[in-house]
Amino acid sequence: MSSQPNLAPEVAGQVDRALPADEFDRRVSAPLTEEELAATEALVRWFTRRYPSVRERLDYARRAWRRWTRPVRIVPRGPEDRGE
Amino acid sequence: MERTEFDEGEFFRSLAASGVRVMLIGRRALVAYGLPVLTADYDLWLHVDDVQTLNEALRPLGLLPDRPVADARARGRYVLENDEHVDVMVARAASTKDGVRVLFDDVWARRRTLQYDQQTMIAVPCIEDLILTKRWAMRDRDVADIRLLEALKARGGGQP
Repeated sequence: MSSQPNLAPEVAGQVDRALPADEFDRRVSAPLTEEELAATEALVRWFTRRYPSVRERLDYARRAWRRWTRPVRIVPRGPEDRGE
Repeated sequence: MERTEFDEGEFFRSLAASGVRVMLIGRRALVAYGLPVLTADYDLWLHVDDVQTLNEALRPLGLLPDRPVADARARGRYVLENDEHVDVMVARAASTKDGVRVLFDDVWARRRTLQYDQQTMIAVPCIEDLILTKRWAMRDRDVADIRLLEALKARGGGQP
């Protein structure tokens, strides 16, 4: 099974595609920039303050997945949207 | 298949109470360490001798194996599923595509134990080993996960 069960198979295939080893190594071994470090630190600080326990963090992950995979309902708002 | 209401707390409590040697791996382990990443399912790495015990422990939750124990052992992985999807790796070792061999026993010996709730602990690989597991498939998103873990490590994080 794809790790992306909510995606069409052809899209999931791209997401799960293995990179060539040299490209993977180049991208993984590139030095971390100060911006990258600061952004990760800020992200972790926010997440662990808002969700201090492991249980709360894992709960958040379930809610976030449901939110991101919820079908989008498009509601017409004006004559143009309604095709008038 | 009968629809069930999955209780994540009960899932982790059942894992802990079963006494099996199992670690949470994959993106949910990153979440446990404090990295908010998106993920659909659960990834576990289980000692190959503990398959039957795990299956029995999770049966009351409606999580059923997709293949017999012997097949799971031979294949090195199987799935427990109902509305949830739990990928269970049972290989004694796995190699990264660049040839680094990662042994269950070594990773288990270096594991971190995190407090899920007041009664329940869950095991995860240490950050260095979690990075190694992210080298198994070498996917695009694994690059991002490794860089997040490296940044967490560099800033002295991973102290849940």
